[in-house]
Amino acid sequence: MKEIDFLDAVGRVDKRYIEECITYKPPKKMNIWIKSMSAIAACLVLVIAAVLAVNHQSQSVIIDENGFHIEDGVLLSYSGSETDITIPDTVETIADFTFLGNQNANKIEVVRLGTGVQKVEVNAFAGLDNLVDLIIAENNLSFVYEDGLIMTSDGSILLRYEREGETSFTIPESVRFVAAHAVQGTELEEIDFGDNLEYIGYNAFAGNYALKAIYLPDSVKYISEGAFSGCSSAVDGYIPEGVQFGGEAFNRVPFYLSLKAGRMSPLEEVKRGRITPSEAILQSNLDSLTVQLEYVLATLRGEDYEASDAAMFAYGAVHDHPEVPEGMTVPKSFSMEDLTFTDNGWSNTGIYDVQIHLPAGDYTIVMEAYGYETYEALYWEDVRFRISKLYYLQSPDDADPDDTVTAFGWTAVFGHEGDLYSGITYTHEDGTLIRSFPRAESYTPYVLTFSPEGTRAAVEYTYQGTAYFYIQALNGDHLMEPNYDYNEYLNKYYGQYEAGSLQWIDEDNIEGVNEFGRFRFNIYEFEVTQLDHDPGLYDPSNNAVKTVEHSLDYYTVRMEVPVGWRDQTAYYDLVRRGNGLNDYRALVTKVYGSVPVRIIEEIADDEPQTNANGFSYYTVRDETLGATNIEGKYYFLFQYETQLVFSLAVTVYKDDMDNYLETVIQPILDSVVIEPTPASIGVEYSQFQNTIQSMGENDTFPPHSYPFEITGMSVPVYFEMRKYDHPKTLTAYGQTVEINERVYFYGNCRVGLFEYDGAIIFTWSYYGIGYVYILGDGFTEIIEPDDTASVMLYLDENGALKYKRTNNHMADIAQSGGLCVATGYDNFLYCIGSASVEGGKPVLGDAEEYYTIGDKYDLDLEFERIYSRYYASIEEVFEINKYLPS
Amino acid sequence: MNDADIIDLFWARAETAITELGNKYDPLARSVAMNILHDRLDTEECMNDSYLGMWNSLPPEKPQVLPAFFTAVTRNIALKRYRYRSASKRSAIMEELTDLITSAPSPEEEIDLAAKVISDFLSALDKPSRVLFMHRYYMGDSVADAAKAVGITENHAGVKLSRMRAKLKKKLREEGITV
Repeated sequence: MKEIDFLDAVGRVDKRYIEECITYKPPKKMNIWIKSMSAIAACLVLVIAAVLAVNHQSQSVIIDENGFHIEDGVLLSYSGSETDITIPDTVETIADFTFLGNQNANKIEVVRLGTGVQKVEVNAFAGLDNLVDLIIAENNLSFVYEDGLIMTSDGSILLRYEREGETSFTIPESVRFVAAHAVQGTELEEIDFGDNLEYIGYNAFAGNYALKAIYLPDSVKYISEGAFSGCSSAVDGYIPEGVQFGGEAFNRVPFYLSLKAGRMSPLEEVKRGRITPSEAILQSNLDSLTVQLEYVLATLRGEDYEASDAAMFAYGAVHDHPEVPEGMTVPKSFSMEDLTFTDNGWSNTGIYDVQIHLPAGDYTIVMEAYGYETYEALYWEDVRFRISKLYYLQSPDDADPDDTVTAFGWTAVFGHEGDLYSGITYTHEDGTLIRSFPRAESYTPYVLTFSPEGTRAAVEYTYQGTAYFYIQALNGDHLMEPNYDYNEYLNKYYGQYEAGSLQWIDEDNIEGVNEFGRFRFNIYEFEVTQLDHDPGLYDPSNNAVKTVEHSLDYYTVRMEVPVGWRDQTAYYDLVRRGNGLNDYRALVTKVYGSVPVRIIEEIADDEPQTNANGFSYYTVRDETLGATNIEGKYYFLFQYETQLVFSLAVTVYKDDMDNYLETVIQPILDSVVIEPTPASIGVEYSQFQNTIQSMGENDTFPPHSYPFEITGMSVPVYFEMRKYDHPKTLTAYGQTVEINERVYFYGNCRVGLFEYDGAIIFTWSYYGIGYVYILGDGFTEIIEPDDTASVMLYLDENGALKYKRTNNHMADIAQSGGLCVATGYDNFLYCIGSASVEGGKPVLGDAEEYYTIGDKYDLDLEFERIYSRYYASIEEVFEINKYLPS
Repeated sequence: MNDADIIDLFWARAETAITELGNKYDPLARSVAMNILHDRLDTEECMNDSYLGMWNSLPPEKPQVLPAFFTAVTRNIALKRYRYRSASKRSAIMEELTDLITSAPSPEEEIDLAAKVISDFLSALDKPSRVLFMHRYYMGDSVADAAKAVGITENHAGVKLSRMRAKLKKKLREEGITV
């Protein structure tokens, strides 16, 4: 069997299918046909089962219902989706690459062998990059577990290394084969491979970052794919002659690169600390550097410059560069002598290796570059330094003293948003300069604390109401960016804390690996304590809650969750994984349409419960989870009147506290409040609500239609509704127009029905604006949609109602003094009678208020998001857009 | 700016080609990269390479459907990058999709054969199913996003995708290929 990369193959399918996929627009279909879909689903399952049954070849080939493909006692492949797998006892041998073809191979965490398995081939577990536990029954005499090592009983195969915290390891003399992934991703610095090793499995020693040398004994014959891939500190090593290796066996291994180069490779020099980035850059491909610099300077000078392909390497820095300030004189040319280099240190965590400084009048142009091919190149001259960041610095003396902190020889200057560089710039007395990520994430002040020995700085800030911090290394080694996981952890259990309460603990007591900092800090105000245990998932002493609000299509949902829980912008889902420090997220699912089919069926006859605010909900427990660490998955399906509005999905883990559902989840459920949001203007929401309720009833054959009356307009208005509750016609002023598209009054569409100057106007949008239907006394008009941003209706010089496109609502108001606008792209509608703009805000004349569906229209926000890059003020926008063609 | 004009800019070696391409299609291509790489910095580098790749490909290429071509270039670069990363870094995020990427590129003939089997398989499907499949395995969208793209529920999409996979796996097996 040839094993291939599926995604590669998909990439090469007939390109018509790629184009089709990109240009496809979904038909506007409702997704409430739950009952019928499940029927079809059931039929298909039966068909497939039948097909599979027919395909059984012989007695000894079994694909059992769990996905194990066993032939004559040999496990050949696994096609199930469990993450905790028990190998059936009918299996005697697990073959090489059994799991490699499985899409979930990377998720498999536990493999259990009972007493049946006697033999595991060396690459049997290939593909199980994230295997946590290999559990073998104690009375299985074919394997032994001793001293942190799992081996075959004759000691010839090392299946797994499970020791923790060791820095060196000697492979036992009996070992001749090391299994796939056996010693992957450890922190070992030294490995003694013994004298008898013959065969090294797939990724067997991959990712051992700290491993300093790889001296293989002469007994080694074969090294599988990826065996030492990523052992990027191995500056020394020996590979016996005549050994065969698989692809990428020594990927990014310094001594191997040197072997191929015939001299010390760039990576080896870097890892040995024999070269600084400023030295390296001068040995690197200088042509590449020169053309990039020329390109940068030409761009800053504002010239029309035809960048060669090589120059375009710096495209990333150039296209994003800040505006050239007054007082900066961009040089017309440069020579290498004009440049000074400072080191940031070798790192690939986001901080660039070297800074190139070029004086330019009152400023210095700083370009940060990194060695692009350092991990792969054989010679420095093949390494290109890629200019990736461009900014300008003034003398630090000009910094506002309030934005400067000095400690331990470091001066930290805080940039501001809108500054040329908005991160924190740290300069040391000796000239070293380091920068942090830009602070554009936060609109609140940063608090900076230096560690006692001055090698690190902690930066604290709040963002969207939650406090964060990250650690900045000041020795140029690593920029410790805000690690999602550990910020989450700290915020989750201790809720919000006041910025400024972060304190350093004695260096010796700081836990964890420096690279991404599993630091424990005191984050309680006023108290210096040190944590000595792993906190549980929920801190009962922290009862603080926050209100989260989310707008769904026709509803707003509010609930109270623990302050530490984090919102995602578009959706919430209460799912957490009990992996200790990693992966805590608090999210809440939205929209009833995504609730699993079978759950809807299950609850059809149930009685709902009622929460403290009077909203009813169903509780369904999903029994089908196989993972051993999950206690259960629950769905709480909330209703508003008779409609299912949204669901909360909660996964409860075994190591959650007792009574988690009662203590943590129930209060959240009780806090839920659902409010309907008006769907359109001029129409009572309940009108549309009635429509939604009648769905399903109208799903008959032959289709029947019914009138849907609109109240609140100055004339009678009604739709004639047809099958599946789409409007067929609209009638007003005694005239009827055909609605020649499938309009939806629910789901993700936005509907507008309003009156303006003697006309009833109907329009809608669903991922793009639909037609605009206008009915007035003695006239009707239908205006075709365009898929651009906004539609504006206005009266032309003859008083006829016209339609035009606009991206600038407010400018158009200023021009025409009264109009009716519907827009699709940002999902709001507003209707203004006579209106104008003063001071950048709409001033309503005799019109109704302007309305939005969802968020209220925010002119400041629109300016900031869309126009502020190009215009200084909203007034400028109006000025310029006055002259745009319609 | 329409696609034909953007392509013309590339052919004219005008640098604004890249800006215009980005204005129109950066989010699309970036999401494909992010779906594979799940890392902001890697995606940033990938996008840089991707624009460079476009610059180097047009001319001589003159794509019929520009966004399709751009996403294809981006996708290939992202996959390459992922492969490089996967053996040496234990990513905390392993989605089902990236499980399908092997640590080494596969032999050409086998890939082409597999691509043919997959194309044949796709040709027999109805358009929405095919588009669903491509959104998931070509663009790398999550099941939820792929479902949205074709206007069906997430659950329905999940079921459809797993059936398509099962059928496809079988067909590939018949040709002596495993994935």
